[in-house]
Amino acid sequence: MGGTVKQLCFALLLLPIAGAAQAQYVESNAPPMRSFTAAEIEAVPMPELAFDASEVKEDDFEKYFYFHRPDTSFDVAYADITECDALTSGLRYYGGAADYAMSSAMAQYGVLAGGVGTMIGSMVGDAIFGSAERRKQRRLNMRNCMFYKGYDRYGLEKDLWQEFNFEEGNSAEKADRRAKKIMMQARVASGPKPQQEALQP
Amino acid sequence: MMTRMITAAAIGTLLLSAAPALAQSVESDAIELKNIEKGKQSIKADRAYILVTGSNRSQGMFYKTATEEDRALFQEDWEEEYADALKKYQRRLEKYEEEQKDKRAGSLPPNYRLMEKPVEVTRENFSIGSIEQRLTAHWGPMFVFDKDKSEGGEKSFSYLLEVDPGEYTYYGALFVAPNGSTVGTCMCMGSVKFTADAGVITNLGDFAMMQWFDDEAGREVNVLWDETSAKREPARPIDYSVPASLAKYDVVRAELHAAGKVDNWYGIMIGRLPPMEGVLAYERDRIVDVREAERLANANDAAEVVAAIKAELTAEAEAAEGEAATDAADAGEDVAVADAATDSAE
Repeated sequence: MGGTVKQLCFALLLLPIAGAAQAQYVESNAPPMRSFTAAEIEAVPMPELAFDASEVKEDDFEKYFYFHRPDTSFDVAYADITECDALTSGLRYYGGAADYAMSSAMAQYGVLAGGVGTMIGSMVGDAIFGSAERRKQRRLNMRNCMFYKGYDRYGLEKDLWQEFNFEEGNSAEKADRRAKKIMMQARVASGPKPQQEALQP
Repeated sequence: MMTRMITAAAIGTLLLSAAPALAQSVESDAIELKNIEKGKQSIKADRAYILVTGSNRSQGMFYKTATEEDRALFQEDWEEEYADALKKYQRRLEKYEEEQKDKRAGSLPPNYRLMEKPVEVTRENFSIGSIEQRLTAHWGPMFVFDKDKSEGGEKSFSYLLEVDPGEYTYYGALFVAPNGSTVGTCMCMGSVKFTADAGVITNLGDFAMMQWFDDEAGREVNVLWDETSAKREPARPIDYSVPASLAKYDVVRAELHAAGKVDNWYGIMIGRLPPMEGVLAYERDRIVDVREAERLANANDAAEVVAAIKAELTAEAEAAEGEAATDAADAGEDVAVADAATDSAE
């Protein structure tokens, strides 16, 4: 190749390179990840997870389960569970950092901090689906969402499950109890790997 | 425009959003061939059109990416509603303080139920929902643009949705009842978007039939995939056939791009679109813009070529400089030799 031709190619090839330094991921619009101190994490009670599998019907695991992912910090697990819980419950999460935390304002003013359509959609929806269907929907939404995030699912005995989980049918879990239980779920999800076999995601 | 939809809702068809009437919206209308033929509707140069086809009726929703103008309008509404909420809060607070005063004075009747202290409304905790939720456009299942049946008996349906020009993201296949309740699955954790330009029909083909991905991709988006997709037809690429009735119009294939996460506005099932070759992929729940990734890879290839050419050019230039120096030295030597020869001859 002659020097002049090469120089021309060089000039032309420079053109598409400008602006190439961009990420290949779609930009996240999630709120910033909350950071917990070691003391804060330690203060979250670690739920009891040991149970006698022979006394539990396998069908129960369709309803009573928890998530765990190896090599996951408490902060990450908390962010993941919070995101899935918000999506599952129709709470506002993306694009507004403060919204998810404002459920107490939402409870009092209805449309304030929650999505406008969410509240109405859920209420009217219940008239059609009924509480049992909504509980089922919540379970499946959590399963899909946590599966996308790479968490494994493990079955649990009902009473133990109730200590750090909640179902949502016709009425929403109270904000303070929800927050407390999500912290416990994050503790479990980021804790020691369960000894039992994981369920289908 | 919306009147037709409201009528449809009243007779039991399934169209309207669960959200209350909002001032800000995408103006949308379902175009029907019979109305074009009668001159009641037309394809306008300043409006955008989205074509959705398939072997069955379908329904779904898009939301528009907010423009600067949309954001300005949203902010106006926000301020207005914030002022209203603030007044409401102040009234409640006054009532609360009055009750507390009466309580201290012991003037409340027995078993009087005191109100809770109202949560203060601030600019930080006040929200009117997301702007995207206001900018939605629905299609189907009624108001088909055109339907046909092949000689083999295969049916085809097409929908032509007139919208404001802009960028639209597929929100999901929603089934909205007349009373506002919503059933369906939102693509809240990964979807695709495309641009719908004015004066053009942007063709999504039979994308909404969801036949364009195989079981392996299906398993990436639904933990119950194998239980729910047993009778599914084999996967095939999106069919972009255009109804003959649209032949004279400018129809372009939608250029799909990966789109990010969005809230579950209606409290329905959540999901994500299966990975789409050349467009959408996932790393766990992180959404990969494959089109952008490929563009970057091409740019990197180009950068490598540029670096190679540059290195070669530099080497050549250095070699040329070296040769020139050698020639000059040789010339110098020649002159010296010639001088010496001349000197010795003299």
